[in-house]
Amino acid sequence: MRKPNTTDHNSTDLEMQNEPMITAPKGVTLADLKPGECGTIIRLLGNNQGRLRLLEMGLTPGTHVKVVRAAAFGGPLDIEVRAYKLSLRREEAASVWLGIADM
Amino acid sequence: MITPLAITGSTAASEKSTKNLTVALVGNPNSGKTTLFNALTGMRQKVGNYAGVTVEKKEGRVHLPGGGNARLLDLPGLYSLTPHSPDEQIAREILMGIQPDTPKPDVILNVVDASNLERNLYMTSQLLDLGVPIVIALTMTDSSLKEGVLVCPGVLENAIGVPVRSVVASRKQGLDELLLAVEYAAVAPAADAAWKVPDQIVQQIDALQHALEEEHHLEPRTAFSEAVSLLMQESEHIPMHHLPESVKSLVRTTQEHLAAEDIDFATTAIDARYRWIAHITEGVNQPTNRQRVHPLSTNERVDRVVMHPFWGYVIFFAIMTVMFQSIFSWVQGPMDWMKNGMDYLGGVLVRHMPAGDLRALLKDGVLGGVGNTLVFLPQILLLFFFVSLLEDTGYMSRAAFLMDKLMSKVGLHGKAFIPLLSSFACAIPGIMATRTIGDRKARLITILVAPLMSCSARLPVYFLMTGAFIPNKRVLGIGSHTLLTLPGVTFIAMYFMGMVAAFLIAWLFHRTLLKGVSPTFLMELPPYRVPSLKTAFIQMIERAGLFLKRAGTVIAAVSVVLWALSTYPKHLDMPKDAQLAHSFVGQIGHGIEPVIRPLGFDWKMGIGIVSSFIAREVFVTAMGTVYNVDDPEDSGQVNLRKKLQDDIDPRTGKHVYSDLVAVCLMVYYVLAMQCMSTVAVVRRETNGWKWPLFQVGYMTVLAWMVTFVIYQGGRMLGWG
Repeated sequence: MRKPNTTDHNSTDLEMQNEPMITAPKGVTLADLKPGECGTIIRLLGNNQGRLRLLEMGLTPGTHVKVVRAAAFGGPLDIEVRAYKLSLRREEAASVWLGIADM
Repeated sequence: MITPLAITGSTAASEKSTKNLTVALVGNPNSGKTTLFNALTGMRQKVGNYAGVTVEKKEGRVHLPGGGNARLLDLPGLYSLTPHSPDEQIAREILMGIQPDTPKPDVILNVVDASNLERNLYMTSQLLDLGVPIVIALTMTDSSLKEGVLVCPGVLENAIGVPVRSVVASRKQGLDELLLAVEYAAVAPAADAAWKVPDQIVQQIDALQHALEEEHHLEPRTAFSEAVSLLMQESEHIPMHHLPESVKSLVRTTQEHLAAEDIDFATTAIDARYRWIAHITEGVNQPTNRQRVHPLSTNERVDRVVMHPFWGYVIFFAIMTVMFQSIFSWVQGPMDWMKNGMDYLGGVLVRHMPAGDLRALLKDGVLGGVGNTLVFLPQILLLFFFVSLLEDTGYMSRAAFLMDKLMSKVGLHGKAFIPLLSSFACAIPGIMATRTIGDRKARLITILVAPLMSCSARLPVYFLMTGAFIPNKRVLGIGSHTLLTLPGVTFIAMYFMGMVAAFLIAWLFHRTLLKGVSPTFLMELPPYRVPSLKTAFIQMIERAGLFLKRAGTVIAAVSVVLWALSTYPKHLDMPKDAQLAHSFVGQIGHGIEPVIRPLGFDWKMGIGIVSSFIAREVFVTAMGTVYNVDDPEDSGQVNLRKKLQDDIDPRTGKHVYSDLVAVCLMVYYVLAMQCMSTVAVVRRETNGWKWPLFQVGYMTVLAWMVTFVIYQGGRMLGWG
């Protein structure tokens, strides 16, 4: 059975499993995730300053991200990355490609 | 935990202490940087603008423990030094020592939020590149402790290699140790760059670095930092005009080369920095992802309500209502005091000066001008007090999160809601509040459309017109209770029109003038914190001071000019209404009559419109004078209304006013830019005349066109 995704940071504590951790299948973007779902970043597509900002804010390949909630009517996403919360529009999230971590 | 001094350090330190140090305060937004700045400088701070840009320059003086003073530059809150906007660009220039008028900082004071270590250290790694001595001020250690995270400054110091001092700025703890470390750092050698440059990009960085050293004369460390920064960005977007051509072409060819080898420079470099960060934070107890947003954590529990798809909006409207209602009720008192104060001073002048031009100039021109400026103060003070509290608690970003969908549809940013909502009261504090919107284009669009939201100064005009020309018929009622009258509907229609216009024009600008890269919304949702009243107070005073200094002088000056225009040339033999008609203002009113005739207006309304440039509500006073009514605002309003209703145009023999004309006048006031104070503030906020003049232009054209359509269309349909 699948184990919850781990990264360098979540080393020991497997106690906190109250919420369902669904690993996103390959070929999915951050915008496709539903609240509560998470994944590991593979790469960021696009060729602009927006992508650069996302990378600098910590959304780098290999980083674990989780969607906490989504605003109504297709509004922004509230995500969790590197132990802080970030809000971004779905168009911005669509450039973040996720996959199954292989570490 | 004192950093060991170099052997020569002690004498050098005392030499430096007689000299003024320049210290740059750098850190993420929401990291407690402003609180630290306020704690260190108190009220000994001043705000201005960096020449030629809209970035605010904020500096203050700190007294150093070792004697002497430091000049503390509060740089804008930034997540990185990569130039995404003028904010980062200016910060880079200052830190590299190439900003004119600003000396290169001797020490960088880097504010790092302990509860958010990884992301904060990203900029730290960029700062370390520069080769300037750095001291880290570790903030939020108390709140991170509550979350079960203990960050030991000593461990960080050993890992990073620069002094780290823990501070709790709100309680003024740790400040002396911090300043002591800054003094020592000023004479100690700077730390090495932190991250390991990955092999696949080492050569490219080296080559560009050498080119920058040779041909652009940068120092080695600065050249390294600049080389990395240049290669990270798309070369089309970087402002490279200040670089020599050889360097520019090297940047382009290097990027082509990297692309050809399929090397993603940005990701490689950024990833390398985060690897360094991971190494640093290994030894530090870190919150895990799950601990941080655990369903039972207080933050998350509050967020579940505050960001709820239904209750979130309910709470939002409740908070906005409370806020604006408070502002509305609390400004009345101070505004009455100020009016009484001005009247009193006017009375003093009348008693002590002989009647004449000088007295009139002082009383009506200068005093009137001062009064016109001060009248905005209570609103500005209160709005910024509330805005600061909301930002400090962390609620502001939640509200922006809720509002963003609506705002983004017209190219605005989620954070535009406060400026637009406050513009219903007065656009001036609203426009000043746009500074929270990071994105330049989104901010500019917000500023340009804010005055379309019907401000309270338009109300006297609406009251006059509806009172005189809209019959008090019932539109909606239940039994004997009237819910809605025709005048009421008219009011609502005017407000609605303003709002719709604001959104439509915003959308239009978004698509045409200010199009381009879609503004990013990326916004941190900081943990909830107890707001600081002191910070709110300081922010309030600061904004008011800025308003008075930059906008206030313009408003007062223009007031005097307009007073002169309506007083001269003098015709003492004529009654008051004829005097006004023959003054410069009157002549302008006559002059524009051909232009406003197609809208159904005559020259008397022309005078009213021109006079409104001082402030929209002056329309009523001006009309009072033109129609020879004293005190048009009080009981005289009945008289004024009657006069308007009875006015006959000598040329056509018909009534000047009809309900159609009244509606058209109101529509004109909804859409036109008539408030010189707003122009003054827009000039200050956009740092130039281009945008305020454009705003006056487009709004005047818009107002004219829409009013034209309504008037002519109405006539054709047989109305009026």
